[in-house]
Amino acid sequence: MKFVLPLILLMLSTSTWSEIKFSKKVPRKQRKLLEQDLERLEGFRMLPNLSQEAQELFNMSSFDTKSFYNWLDQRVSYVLGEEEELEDLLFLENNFQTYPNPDLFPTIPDGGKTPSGTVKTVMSNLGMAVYFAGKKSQQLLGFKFKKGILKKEKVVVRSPRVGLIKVGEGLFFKPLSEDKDSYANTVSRLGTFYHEARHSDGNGTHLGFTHDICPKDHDFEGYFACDFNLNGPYTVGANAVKIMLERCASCSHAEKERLNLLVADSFSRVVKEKVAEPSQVTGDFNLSTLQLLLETKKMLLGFEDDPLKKEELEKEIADLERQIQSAGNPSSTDPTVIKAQKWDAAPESI
Amino acid sequence: MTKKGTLLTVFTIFGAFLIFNYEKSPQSSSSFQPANNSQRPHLSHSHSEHKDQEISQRNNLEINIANKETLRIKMEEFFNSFPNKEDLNDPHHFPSEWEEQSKLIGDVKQGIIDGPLTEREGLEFYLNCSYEDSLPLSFRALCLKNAYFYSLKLDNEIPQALLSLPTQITELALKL
Repeated sequence: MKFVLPLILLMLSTSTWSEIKFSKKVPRKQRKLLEQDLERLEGFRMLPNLSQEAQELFNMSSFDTKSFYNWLDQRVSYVLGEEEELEDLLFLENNFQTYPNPDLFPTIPDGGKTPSGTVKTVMSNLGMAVYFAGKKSQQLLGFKFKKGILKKEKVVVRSPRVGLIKVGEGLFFKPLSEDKDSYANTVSRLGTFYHEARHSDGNGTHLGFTHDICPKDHDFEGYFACDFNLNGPYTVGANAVKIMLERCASCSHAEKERLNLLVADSFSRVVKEKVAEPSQVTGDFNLSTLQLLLETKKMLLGFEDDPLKKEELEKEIADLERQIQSAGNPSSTDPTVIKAQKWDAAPESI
Repeated sequence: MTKKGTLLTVFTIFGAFLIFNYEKSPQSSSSFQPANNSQRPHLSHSHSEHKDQEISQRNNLEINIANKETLRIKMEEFFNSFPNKEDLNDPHHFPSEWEEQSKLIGDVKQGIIDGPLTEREGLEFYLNCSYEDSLPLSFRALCLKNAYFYSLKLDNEIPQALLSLPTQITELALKL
């Protein structure tokens, strides 16, 4: 009996991460490392010199360790292994479903490059993809999650915040430090977790904080590997690594330097402004012109019967709405330059 | 010879062998020293220790020189070691093709703090890295941050060329 109480207390004390569930297909070694990472995250202690940007991103103040890991906990709930195919896990919960912002979807630019060769999965947010697919088809989708032989769960995806993440060998195969248990490796992996967790946020045209194509002359020119906003996955990932590396007492100078490079890499993908494409610039690029154009196109949409032309008009309207949002920024003085902004991170939910 | 006699002879020979070796053993540890000087064993021991230290120091020095040479070669190779943008496999996260270069960036920092690199050698590397416009922005920004630090520390001023680098590098360095 005297062992029962401490055992219960222990179970209660370690229940913080019980919300993050690992599929039985996540290899044991990977799972152990990730569980260790999450436990260590609980142990991080905040220091007073927290940047304003970090405080805003993670909704926390200095010394506030709990908010930092709660932020991740709220956005990551289910972890799948690399071998699991999403198609095999999906089910249809409801054949017709109405969604918030039914006409608004992220604008995905055409013509992005695809990586060459075989891609090793690092991590990806599938929850957002399932929600997006459901919204697009106006159906309510879900996925089956197998924790163990007798532990199966059916999860209905009512929000991108469902937090379904897939981890792959890429997250582990070239660790930052040769010591696989090192804190530096933990910081590096958790940084990726924070990045992916951000994809669980957003609504309307900003649903899932989707990436943008990196501009000309960028190191990743042409790839969907940049953010055109100031609070997206790359900003979140960079800030998370920065917070953790500054508090990593056991990291060597070399490890800290390499972690700093990860921070630099993530920040370098935040595109702060871009020149409007010719199709985006119409005469005098000012707010009233754009608004007039928008209203006219909306009016035309009401008269259009051809589905193809209708679709084209909808696209143009969405583009114009984006431009109007950017033009509304008072710091935007150059008429051909669109400035990146902070996106509304509130997640859509049915 | 009886069985008892045989056993006695064997034990005697074995005993003599042990005694002989017991007397011989102190000398054998410093077999290159003359045995007629009572101080010699002590001196020879001290000399041996000194020599061991010398060898150890020389070995460390050789290791350091070897490390430095390896590091120097890698630092030279660094500038031409990046793959083409088109050859990156998965640029969504930090490219795995940049791992070796990232490791070197870490080794240079560690090398400056713990040896074998001097701060001046480190600064030279950071300056070249900051100026080299074929390198990825993230590497240049990190180098720039270090270049500022060691320039001010060693020379109390920032080189003019460093001050006129594109703003995007400076802005990124500021975020680190």
